[in-house]
Amino acid sequence: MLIVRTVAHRQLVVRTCALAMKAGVKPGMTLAHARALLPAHPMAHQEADEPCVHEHDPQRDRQSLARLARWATRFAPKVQPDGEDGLLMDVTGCAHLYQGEQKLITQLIQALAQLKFTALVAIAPTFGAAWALAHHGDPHRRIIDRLDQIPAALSPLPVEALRLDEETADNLREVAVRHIGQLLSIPRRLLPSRFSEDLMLRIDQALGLAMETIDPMRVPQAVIAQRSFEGPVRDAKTIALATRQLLDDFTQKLHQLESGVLSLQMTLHRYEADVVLIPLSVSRPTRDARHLWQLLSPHLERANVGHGVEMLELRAISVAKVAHHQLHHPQWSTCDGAAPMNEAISEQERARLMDVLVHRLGPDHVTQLEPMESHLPERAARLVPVDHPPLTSPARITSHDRPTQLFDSPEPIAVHALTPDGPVSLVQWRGQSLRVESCRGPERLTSQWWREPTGSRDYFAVRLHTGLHLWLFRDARSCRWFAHGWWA
Amino acid sequence: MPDLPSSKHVPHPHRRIDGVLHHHTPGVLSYAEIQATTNFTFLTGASHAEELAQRAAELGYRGIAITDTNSLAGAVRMHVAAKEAGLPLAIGCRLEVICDVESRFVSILVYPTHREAYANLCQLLTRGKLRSSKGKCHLTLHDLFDFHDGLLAVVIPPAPPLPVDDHFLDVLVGLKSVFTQDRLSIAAAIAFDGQDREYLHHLIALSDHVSIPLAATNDVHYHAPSRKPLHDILTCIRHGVTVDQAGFLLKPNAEAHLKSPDEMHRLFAHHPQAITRSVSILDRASAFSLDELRYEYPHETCPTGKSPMEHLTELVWAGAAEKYEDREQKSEIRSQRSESRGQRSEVRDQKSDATADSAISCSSIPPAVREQLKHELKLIAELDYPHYFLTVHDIVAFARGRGILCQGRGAAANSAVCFCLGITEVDPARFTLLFERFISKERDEPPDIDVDFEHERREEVIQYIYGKYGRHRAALTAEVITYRSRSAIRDVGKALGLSLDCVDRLAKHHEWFDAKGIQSSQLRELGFNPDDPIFIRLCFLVQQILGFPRHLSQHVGGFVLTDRPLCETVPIENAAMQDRTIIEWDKDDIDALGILKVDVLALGMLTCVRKCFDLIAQHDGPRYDMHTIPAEDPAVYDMICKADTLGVFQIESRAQMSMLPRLRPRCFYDLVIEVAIVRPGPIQGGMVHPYLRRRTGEEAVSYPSEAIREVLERTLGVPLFQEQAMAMAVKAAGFTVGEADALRRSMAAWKRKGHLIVQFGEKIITGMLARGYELEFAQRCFEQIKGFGEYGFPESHSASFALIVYVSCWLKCHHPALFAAALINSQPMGFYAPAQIVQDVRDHHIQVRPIDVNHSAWDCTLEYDATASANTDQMNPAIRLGMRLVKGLREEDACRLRETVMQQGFFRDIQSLWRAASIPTATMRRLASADAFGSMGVDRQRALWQVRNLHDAHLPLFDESIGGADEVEDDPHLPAVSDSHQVLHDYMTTNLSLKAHPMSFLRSRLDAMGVTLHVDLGDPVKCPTGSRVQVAGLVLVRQRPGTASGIVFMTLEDETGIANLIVRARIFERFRKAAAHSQIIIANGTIERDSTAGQVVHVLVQSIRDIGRSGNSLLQKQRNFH
Repeated sequence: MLIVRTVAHRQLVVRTCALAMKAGVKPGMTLAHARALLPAHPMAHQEADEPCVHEHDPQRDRQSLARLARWATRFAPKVQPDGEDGLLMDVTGCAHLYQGEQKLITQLIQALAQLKFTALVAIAPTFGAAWALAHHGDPHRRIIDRLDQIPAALSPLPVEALRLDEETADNLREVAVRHIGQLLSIPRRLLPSRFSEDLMLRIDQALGLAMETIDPMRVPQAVIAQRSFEGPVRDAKTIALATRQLLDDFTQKLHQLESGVLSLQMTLHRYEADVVLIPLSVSRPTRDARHLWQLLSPHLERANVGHGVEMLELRAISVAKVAHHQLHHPQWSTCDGAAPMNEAISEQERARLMDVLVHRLGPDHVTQLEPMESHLPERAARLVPVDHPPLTSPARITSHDRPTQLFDSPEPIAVHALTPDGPVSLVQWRGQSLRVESCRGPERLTSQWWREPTGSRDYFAVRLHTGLHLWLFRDARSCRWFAHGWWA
Repeated sequence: MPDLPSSKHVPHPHRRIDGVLHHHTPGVLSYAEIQATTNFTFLTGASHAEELAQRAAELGYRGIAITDTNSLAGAVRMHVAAKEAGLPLAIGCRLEVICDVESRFVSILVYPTHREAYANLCQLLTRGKLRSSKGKCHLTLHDLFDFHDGLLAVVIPPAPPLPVDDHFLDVLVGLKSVFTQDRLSIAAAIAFDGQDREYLHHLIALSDHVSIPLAATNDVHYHAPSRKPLHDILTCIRHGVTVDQAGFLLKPNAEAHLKSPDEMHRLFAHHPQAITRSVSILDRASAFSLDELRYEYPHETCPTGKSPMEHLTELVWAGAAEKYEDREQKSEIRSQRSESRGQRSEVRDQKSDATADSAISCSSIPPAVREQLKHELKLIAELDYPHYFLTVHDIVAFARGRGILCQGRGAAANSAVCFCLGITEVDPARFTLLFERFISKERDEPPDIDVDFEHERREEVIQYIYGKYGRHRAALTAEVITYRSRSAIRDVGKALGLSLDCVDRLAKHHEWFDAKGIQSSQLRELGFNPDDPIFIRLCFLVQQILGFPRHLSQHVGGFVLTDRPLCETVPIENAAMQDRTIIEWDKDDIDALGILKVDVLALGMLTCVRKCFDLIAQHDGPRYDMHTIPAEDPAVYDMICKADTLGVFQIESRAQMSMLPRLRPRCFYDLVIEVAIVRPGPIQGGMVHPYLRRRTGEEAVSYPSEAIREVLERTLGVPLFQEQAMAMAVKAAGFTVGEADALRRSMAAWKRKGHLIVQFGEKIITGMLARGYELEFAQRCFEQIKGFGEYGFPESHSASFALIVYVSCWLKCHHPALFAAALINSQPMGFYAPAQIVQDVRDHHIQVRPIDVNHSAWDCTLEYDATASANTDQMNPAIRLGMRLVKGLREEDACRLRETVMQQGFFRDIQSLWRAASIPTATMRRLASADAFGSMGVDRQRALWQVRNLHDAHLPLFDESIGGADEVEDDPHLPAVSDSHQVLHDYMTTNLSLKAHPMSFLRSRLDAMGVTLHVDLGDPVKCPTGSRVQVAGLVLVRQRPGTASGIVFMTLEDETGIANLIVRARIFERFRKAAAHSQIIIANGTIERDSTAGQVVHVLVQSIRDIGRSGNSLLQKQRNFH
């Protein structure tokens, strides 16, 4: 597996799996180079000899690192994501809970392994020293107990272990200073005039001469609303009423957070039975209690309450910020300048409708049409799921006159012309013989050669004596005629 | 729906057609396409001019017009193609004209009707192009009005929906007032977009309203509808999208092809006058043909009052007198020269006037040369080429005056006339066989002279030409950059929607496309599915797009000079390079029209030779010139026979070096052959081995006939030169001289027009059979001639090159240190990097000293020590490497440093030097990193440490006391640096190291593995032929000659010398990773020796391994696949 990033038309490897690393793939290589290395490698998997390649998504990386940091608060109260792939944890006073630091490390590694993370962990009196040990240290010596042990422990490590920027590390290497020990043996007063201030800071941070604190993750406040009954309740109306009150509480809390809910979970705690879970998600963040009730009530109606419900709980699974909207003002609905507002409202209405349809019919049964730039009528639009992100630039609609309705598949039609190649005079369609009053065309369209065999069609727009407006075409190869749509 | 005109306004088709068509070709429907876009409207037209002309002729067109957008770049090709097809052609152009302040465009087709009108069109385009950046043309309606005279115009109306707006009506009215005399029309094209009938009716109404007739066109973009996919792909490439994304950028149908006249008549049945109009436009416009462009030489080269021939004759005899007098009174002239250059030329001028006649009888001119001169001058007078020689002479004289070394080559360059004019230095008295192929009377084409100049100073010559003749009369020819397989795969693949890395991988293996298209096994190897239709389409489209022009670039140095403004003959545009203008035509176009061009080329070795001459003169040696280098020096040939030719011109490559001990050149003509023989042409034609065998006497020299003996005698019966191939065609196959010349052209264009040479092949073979030669011999001759198709080398070029070979060898032989210094100072050029040049001179026991701030200048210099001369009797100086070798150092800083040292003497510490020279600390760091403070007793590490303490921000001028430098510093306790790191660092900063060879640090490891030292490879006892060896070293060069069927030649270097590897294609592929990319490798193979000469040893490789993983990226760049 390779994670790649596109830089100026070149795809560069950002991260690799262990297998690829073994084959010689390194971050910074071009993808083409990496691919060339991979199939030749005997370890490469037989079936999947095509490496699996993903585009690097730093945003997602950051998010999952933040999630992991939140998760890690179970080991220590203060945790901060560090760089792209690290966590800084302040374990002061935590170790005894695990019977010592070594055991803390072991448990942390095991817990991470269960989440399929491989971790390098070290504990030291300073963050700098711990970072150095974790990134560059000997895997068997992971703990520095006292401040005065730091210099000796760090000495054999390369200077990069001090969290130096690349330039400073290069400058040091240039004068053959490769290890921290070599750096520390240079009289300290010779350094500031020669290297960046950052170097001094980093040395001091590692040795504990400079303070370093972390900015711990703040765990967001959970949005939960609960309601307990005196005893088990089986009456649907009571449950419904309670739920609506609960929704009011719930949306009130969201309101305070200036947020809306994207997905939530309702839990029915039943008397002497399992809980019933009702998951719910919506297309846009909302805190509209009425809307949520609309979506929730059908599920609630179907829910099996068994011997009765003792407690109801609403818990937000994911929330998002919602800006305040002036949703409605009676005067504006008649005012001309209110187009953007109307648009915002209609967009909300649309989202609401979508949510209702999706919850009633199921997500697979609701689709929307997206216009596409194509001369071919069949390809001028496509069906996409409703949660499909809206197009950034809507496709141009063709300037040509297109029928209001296109048939699912072209219908064969018999056509009579007075002279070959002459205008169409009579058509027989759906068992009727119809006289043609006027005929426009041909509009010649060729197939998309990169998808299907070459062919072309001549389209004609005909007006029949019944007033019907048909769109006909003649297939160039077979010379057969079809009706493809009509104008309403 | 728009109103339709009632049918009674439309006359009956038959009446009109009868009435009008009778006028032209009765009974036959006639049509002429007046709007055809070729692929010279880059990435728009999808057919070659030839295809359009051919197809139009097949369809029985009355004629065709070429109308590329804002360009005449394809006009000559179309002209030639139409002539071949016997089709009348109108030269035309589609102008995109800005017509108002809102920058709205209107497209107008224009066609010149006579020579002056054509000049107008060229000037118009030139004006538009010179005011815009490369490839663009910015024209307004007013520009068109300035140059309208004699042009026919056809306005292209805006696309439907009509009716048009008032703005367009205004443009029409404006144009109508200028294009009087029935010269204006409106284009009508049927687009099959469903509204054609309404559109045409609107146009007819418009035409009636403004009384401008309609002209039928089909807006042709390709010759046949099958080109629609290619047209779509070109559109995608132009817009940088894939076919899936292209949407409405693509045309909905494939109608923009050449349609049969019948069909066109049917489409315009309602308005047949439009067809008639097109035909009449073509008739009027085809009255002008490009054949009318007559070339005129610039007049400046000849002083007023003299005829050009008189002037040339005077110059030639004066030159002859001087050249041969020179010979006899060398020493005298030389002393004169050193006195004053200015005086000398004065002397010559006076002399030339006075002795013009007497020189003919000047005793010092050898009689043979005198006869030759007379003969040549007579020919020149007959063919009326004196201007040409005067033009070249003028350029060369300018270069000489500036001390720029130059050397002419080409068919005419090695004439006695050119020698006397100083255009070439190849002395006709020195060898006597080159005159036969001077300019021949039968072949009426301008002579061909290319002049090479020092590569560092060619720009001076170019700017002189622009200055003297003006930009309106001198311009570089264009080079049409066409799609090659790699670029084609890249662009087509991207347009088809393949991902970038797929495209990259395919493009890397583009060789397949050259041969037989994609092979499925190879696709599978790369991890693609060969049955995927996308690859079938890719292959199909790539084959079609190959050879399509992509853009115009500038030719390496082909100048076109004219007497009347050049911009009246061909449009001129700006080149990508600053201060360069190019014409729209390439050298084939110019050849086709018989326009003269002078090639002003750059040659690195000339720079080196001149620098070496300068060095010799600086160090109290004589002032040499190309022709004063002592001729036929046996010591030089001895050196050449030993293949000790690293760095010299031409015969320095692997292939050349391995040939030298076998060929054993002993005279100048041997060098001429040497230069020509190691070329793909002779190698492919199978001429090398027969020649070698005949030379060593292993094979008897025989000739099938007396006629062939005449042609081939001097090359022992084996054709080696292009001239000989032509002469054989004439003498043995009965070609006329003109046909032989066509054969030469088709040889040059063999790749592009394979069919032509096959036709010639039949003619050669039947011709030879008819003259009593055997079939087998005839076929072999043809194969040999075909071999020249690749890179046949004319003897005249060879001779010019051989002279430079000789001169550079002479310099290397007698002044090795100076030559090496000059060579390094002329970098980048040639085949070898400074590291190898330095290694080579050290092998010749010349001391090379490191870069040092106290001793080095920008260039490499020479240091003569009192003691050194005692050690070696040759008085060889030591080379002091110059600061130019330090990567990233600016010349300006280096020179300031040098001046400071020269003025203030030796510096003892970094601080004081830095202050005195006031150069940026970044520069000091580069110098420190290059270990250039050795003479101060400061090694690289200390120097870098000290330099880190210098700061640009507070310049020490004001606060000398503050800088931490003056205080005594603590010992920084820096760690020790290993030797291997020192060497790596040397390579990093200067690409070479004088301390040790990088391989020497691996030696103990390599010894343990049983690796053979390169120096031992030559020893037949240690390494007998056929024995297995392992060699290891730094990869210097990888070469894959096109002729060696995929064999890769690699050169390895270790601390003892060079190893030559031969890697077969199969082995190379198997060990691709190491073979193609690694910098330090170990190779396993068997020793191969050439039995004729034991000096060149190859290792035939069986396996390759990478051993330089650690730190090898610090080493120098290799020269791969040149």
